[in-house]
Amino acid sequence: MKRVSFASRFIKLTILGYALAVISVGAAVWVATQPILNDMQLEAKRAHLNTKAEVIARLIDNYTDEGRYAAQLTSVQGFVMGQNDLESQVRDDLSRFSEAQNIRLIDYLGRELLTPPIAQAPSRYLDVEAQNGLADMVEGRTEPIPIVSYRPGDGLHNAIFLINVPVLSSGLVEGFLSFEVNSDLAGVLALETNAADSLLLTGFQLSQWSNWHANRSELVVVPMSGTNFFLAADPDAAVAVTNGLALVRVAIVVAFAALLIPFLVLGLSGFQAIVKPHRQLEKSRSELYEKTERLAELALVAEMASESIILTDADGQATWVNRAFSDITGYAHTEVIGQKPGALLQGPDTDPETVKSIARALQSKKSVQRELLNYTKAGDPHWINLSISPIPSHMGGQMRFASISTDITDVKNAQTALELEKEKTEYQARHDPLTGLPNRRAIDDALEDILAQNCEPRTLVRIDLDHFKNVNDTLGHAAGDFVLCRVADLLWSEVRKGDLPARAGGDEFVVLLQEGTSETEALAFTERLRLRIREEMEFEGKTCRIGASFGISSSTSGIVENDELLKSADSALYAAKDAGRNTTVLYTPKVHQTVLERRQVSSEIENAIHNDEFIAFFQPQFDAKTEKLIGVEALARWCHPSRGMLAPPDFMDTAEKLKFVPDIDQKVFAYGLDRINELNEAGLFIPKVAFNVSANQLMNPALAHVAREKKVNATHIALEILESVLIEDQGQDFMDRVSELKAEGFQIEVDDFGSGHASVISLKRLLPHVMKIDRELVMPVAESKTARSLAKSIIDMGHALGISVIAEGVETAQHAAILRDLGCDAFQGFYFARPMPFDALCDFVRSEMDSKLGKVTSISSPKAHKR
Amino acid sequence: MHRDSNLIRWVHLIACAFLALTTPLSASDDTISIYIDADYSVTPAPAEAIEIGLRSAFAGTWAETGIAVVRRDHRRNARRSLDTIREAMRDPSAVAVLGGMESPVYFANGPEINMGGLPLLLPWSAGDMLTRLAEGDANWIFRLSVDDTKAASMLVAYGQFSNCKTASLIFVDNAWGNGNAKRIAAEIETRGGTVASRHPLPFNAGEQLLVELTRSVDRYKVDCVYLVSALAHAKPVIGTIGAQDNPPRIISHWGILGDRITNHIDYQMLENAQLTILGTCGLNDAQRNWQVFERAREAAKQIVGGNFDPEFHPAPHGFFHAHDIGLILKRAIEIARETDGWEGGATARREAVRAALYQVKAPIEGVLKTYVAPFDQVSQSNLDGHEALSRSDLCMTSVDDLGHVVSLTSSDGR
Repeated sequence: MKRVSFASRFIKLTILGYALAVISVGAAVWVATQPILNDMQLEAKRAHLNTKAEVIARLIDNYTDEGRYAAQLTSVQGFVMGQNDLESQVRDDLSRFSEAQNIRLIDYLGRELLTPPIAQAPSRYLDVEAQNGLADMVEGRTEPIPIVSYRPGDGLHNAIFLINVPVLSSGLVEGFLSFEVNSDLAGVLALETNAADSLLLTGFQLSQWSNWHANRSELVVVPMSGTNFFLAADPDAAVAVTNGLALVRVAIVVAFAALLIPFLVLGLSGFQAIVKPHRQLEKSRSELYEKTERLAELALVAEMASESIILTDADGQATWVNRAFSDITGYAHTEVIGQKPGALLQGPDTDPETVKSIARALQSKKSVQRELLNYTKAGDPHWINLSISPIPSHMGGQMRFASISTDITDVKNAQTALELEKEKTEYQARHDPLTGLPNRRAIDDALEDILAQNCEPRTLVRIDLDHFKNVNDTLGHAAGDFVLCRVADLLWSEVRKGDLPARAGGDEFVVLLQEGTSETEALAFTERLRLRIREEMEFEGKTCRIGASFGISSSTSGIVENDELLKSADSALYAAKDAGRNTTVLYTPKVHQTVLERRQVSSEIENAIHNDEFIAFFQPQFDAKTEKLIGVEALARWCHPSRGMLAPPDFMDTAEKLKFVPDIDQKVFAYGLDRINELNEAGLFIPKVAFNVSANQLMNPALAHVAREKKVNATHIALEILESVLIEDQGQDFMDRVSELKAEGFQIEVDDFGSGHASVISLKRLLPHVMKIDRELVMPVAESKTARSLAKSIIDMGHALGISVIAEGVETAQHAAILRDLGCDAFQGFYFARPMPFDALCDFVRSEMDSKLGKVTSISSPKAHKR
Repeated sequence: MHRDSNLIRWVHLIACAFLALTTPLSASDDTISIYIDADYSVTPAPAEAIEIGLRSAFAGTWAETGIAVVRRDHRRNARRSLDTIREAMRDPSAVAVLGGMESPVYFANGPEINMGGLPLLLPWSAGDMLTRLAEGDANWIFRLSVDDTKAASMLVAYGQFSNCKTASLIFVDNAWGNGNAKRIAAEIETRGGTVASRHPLPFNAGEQLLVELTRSVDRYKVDCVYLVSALAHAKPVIGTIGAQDNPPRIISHWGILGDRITNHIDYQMLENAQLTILGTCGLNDAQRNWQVFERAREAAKQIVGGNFDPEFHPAPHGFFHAHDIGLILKRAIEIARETDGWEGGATARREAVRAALYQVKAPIEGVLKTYVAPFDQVSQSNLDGHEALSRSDLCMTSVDDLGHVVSLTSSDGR
């Protein structure tokens, strides 16, 4: 049972006394004033009777205003318009609709959209007339206004108004907010006696009044505007309004306050004199109890601890040990007390230095922690982590020591195992698992050591097996592994004690020869090895023969430093392979230079491809008649990091020799499509982008694949094939591929027409969409009649075959005028626009676009295009 | 309430399905109906354009006598729209419904439409989820229009191209506006731009409030404003911005193309604000299929009379899209007619039409483009399955002084 405090009992008694005093005074005041109050109430009721009609009208206005506001809420409008996800918000919003009940949302067909709990009862008050009124509003036949209906409830205390407010969207009625308001009209009309002297009556009730109340006097009736009901004065009813009650309440409150002061003084002084001293005494008792409990708990923890605990006196003799000590050492409590623990526990392998260091610390009364090998009573060794701390005496007695030790034997064993495992892992990391040879890392480490120790010049050999891939491909990987192991054996048999052979990876080996090995000795070594590797090898009854190429690099000649040995030997090996394999090349300045140059060019182009340095410039093409943009041609450019922007004549020859052209074409193609996509992404449309393609590129399915990947519609891509491609003997495959590309939507154009000797037949077979007249034929049209005739013939021939004709190299207005007269369909040339980077193309399109936004109706001038 | 409304929905569906299944199709039933569920009251131009586009697609074939086009006015009210869809479901001759401009109408009713077994074709609504509400055979909503999932990146790419680095977003405060605003903001941030401010326009806001909200943009000094709203909300926004000196460029979602803009906003304001609007490429003469276009225009003239020209209609996209999706539907009906399902009752017939929409493989020459297999089953790996247009079919447009929508990069010299 809960103990009730002394202070609580005191406070309760004081409050009880105060309450009894207050009740006595209040009752006396109420009884004394009651007759006067009744008179005042009656007087006030009479004074309010004349304002009732106004009150009711305001009341209804308030309700309809509130309804109008609610009907305009976004949630209500949205829900009526079908946003069902707004239902909970509508319920939330309408729940704040203060006095309304049975709130309903009705759709345009009169269907209810909200069901309970918002609406608790079915709608009972919408008569036919009102329903027709709502339908007229939905169809737009009448103005959208609220419709108010009235029915009496339980007398005037529960009069009910039904209000329908139209919900509008874009001025059209799409539904109704319908709600009822239960109004305590007796209250609103200020009759607290519940005897109303006025009545709200429907038209029907009014017409029946005299039949129902034959013995009562005639009513005075006022119609309520905008509703279907009337306000009537009832001569038999009373009105209830009063102010007198307030006066009585004030009197009682003053009496309460007056009594409060003496009771407060009594309570506070009693609290100081009696309750406070009693509370202090309780607190002291409680603290003493807690301390005793804590000490008992600590003793129990020490006894139950899993660590071994020993207490010793100042001479180091045990005075107390816990249960864990006996469990770990095997010594019973009685065997230890009075003994020095060290004498019992230490054995032959206990480190005497550790024991001495512990003794020194204890002599100087310092804490000490050590790892120590101890022995159990049975003589079993075990490692412990020992921690001894001096315990000062608070009562003036001698210093004592507490020793806590944990068994760490498992941890020690794990450390030993880990070190062994580490050594094994280190070996594996530095050796090739297949051949057992040191690996590339071992060689790198050896070279690093040499560099670090600034050793003598060294010689290094790199070996690459020739056609090793064939062994794998023809005899299988097991045979390949066999060959590698065999070569490793040969290496072991040929190297000397100070040499370091290694497998650098794949079919490549490295031998770091011992100090003092000359180039001549290295050449002799590689020759011996080459001959032995060339010997036939037999694997599972099948013979195979491989060769090897060797690259030697030596810092003894002074050409290279020790840190360049690997790299320069690799260059020599590269040269050996280039020289036909199965040979040895010694690294010399000449080898160095040749390899360097070739690699530099190759790597420059390779890097350029990798770094996306190959881009496209775009040269616009224009309709000959309207001079509007009809497309662009993408032209390759190398954005060289040090030499600037390079045109094809600056790099294409080298690229062809090194067979990089397909990669470059692919880069330019992808770049061009990406840039056109950027424009298309912005909703700006370039009708066509043309790319130069080789016959090989055309045959490569990657072309169409890239276009699909870039999501560029093939119909906006033109592929320009050189006329020279046509005159080369192209097989049926080529023609089939062109047909496929055309079917996919690609436009095919013949570039530089007139520069070669393509026949009309080959043109007819190919049937491109466009042919571009070579600039060499276009340039002289202004001066040469023959050139004009020639151009005219080509244009006519194109048109006869249904091929559009673009003139390239249009550099003057005269060129354009002549070619237009000759029937040319489109122009490309410096007169209109030079090849330009993408940014400039954007500016070009942007300026045309802005001119259009500024004056959309104007036809942009052809001159605007000219650069 | 939810359980009740679901119950009502199921009762409707079962009733529709029962009617459709049990109504036999006699020889006289060969007349088929296509319902148009659009707003003919508040913004009538798109609805009219869609109707003419659809009728022109079916002109000159068996369809001239065999197709009944039933138009219903949803007045932007999703409940009216749902009633129309349910009416069409009950009508055994109905094979498809063509939707109108508003996306919210179909956001609300999408799940029930997908359960109803009647194809809904959308030639205008751009709401992102509409065609992705269900996968596989459970999805009955197809679109040939702008798709909001692609609109944001297009608008922002154009903004970036027009040197717009700092932008304000003005959008109508409903699911469609908020969704687009979120995507546009994300796209701007992805492309390294800055969203200086966001201005949601209350759905039921009056003109004065919209003007005040738009004026608040001025203090951010942005390069451009991205606008996502219908024309009613856009009118005070563009008017207010266009009246400023050196106003930010307005880049608008295509919701404002529901009527001739110059009937509502002074052209000087549009010009001053350099208004550009997302559209499809039907107005881009370089991409338009002229032969099909001329044919459609002639058919439309026959239907409407006079010198009707879809290019100069207040809502030209409605015509282009409805015409093209009409061509696809026509081909699908032709394919479905050859199947057993065509004679198997209304449900089977609709399923046959839906299946045929996937089987339209042979190229259909439309005004916007040539459609090869325009529709495919929607799945997690193919969310665009019911989108006949792709991003490359979207173009930026503007408005000329006569209120005609014109392609921004059109090279026809208009």
